[in-house]
Amino acid sequence: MTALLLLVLQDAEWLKTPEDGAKEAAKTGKPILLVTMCAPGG
Amino acid sequence: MLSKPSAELKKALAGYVRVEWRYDGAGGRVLKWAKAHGNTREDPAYLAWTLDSKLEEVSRWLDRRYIAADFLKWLEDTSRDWEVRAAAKAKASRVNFVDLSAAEDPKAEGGFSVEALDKAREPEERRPILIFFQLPGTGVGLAAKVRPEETRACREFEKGPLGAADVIKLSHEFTCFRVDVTSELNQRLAAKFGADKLPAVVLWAHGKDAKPQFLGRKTAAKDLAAAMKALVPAEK
Repeated sequence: MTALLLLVLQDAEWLKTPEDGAKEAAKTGKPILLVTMCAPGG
Repeated sequence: MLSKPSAELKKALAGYVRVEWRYDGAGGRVLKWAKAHGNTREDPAYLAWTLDSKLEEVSRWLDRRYIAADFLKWLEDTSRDWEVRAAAKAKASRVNFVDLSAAEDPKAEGGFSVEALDKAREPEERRPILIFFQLPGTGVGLAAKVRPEETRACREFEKGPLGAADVIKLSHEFTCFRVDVTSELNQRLAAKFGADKLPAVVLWAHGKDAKPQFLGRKTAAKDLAAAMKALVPAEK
């Protein structure tokens, strides 16, 4: 799963909470991709 | 092994609102939520879900091996299903009109015929018909210049009675036509049904002896719904 982590870190456009995602999804009509992450160093 | 995301994966990701939700401790929201959505372990990393804007789960990816090709396929499959669902939802949330036009036909009464309407009236077609006579456009275009008040009234009728939930739901039991009353032939078609002042709706029950029912521009949503309901066979 580390490659997925890399994807997340490489891309600055990831939101930080599901609620932020919900607001954006309501505006854009896109589905949300939610990835749960360890804290840095975790 | 760390690998850079492929162009296909980047493209698939662009179809999503992306959220990285960081672990907030053993008693935190993240682990609790992940366990309620299929995670069986005491750590939530690195799992993925797709959700709708109400945060209802659409699909999940709980395979910790992370095979990039499988992950890509999951994203693409979910995206495709999402589009199908969104299209069905959009279709269900409006009256789905088919544009109808009269064609010159010297042999027919009035000098015109309307093939799609004739077909919808054939015995094997068992649906009632709704015809919306209107002028296209909003505040621009020829129709709006020539008949501005009626053009505005058509848009208001679309948003009002034709946008009412009951009417939309009932409309899915009808064959719904929209006639732009701009050409001379379509004006003759509208006049045949009494639609001289726009907008106007005509309801036509199934059956060869049924007569078209004219509903004028002042028809309220509840009255339109009631008239439509009267033409829909009762549910068994």
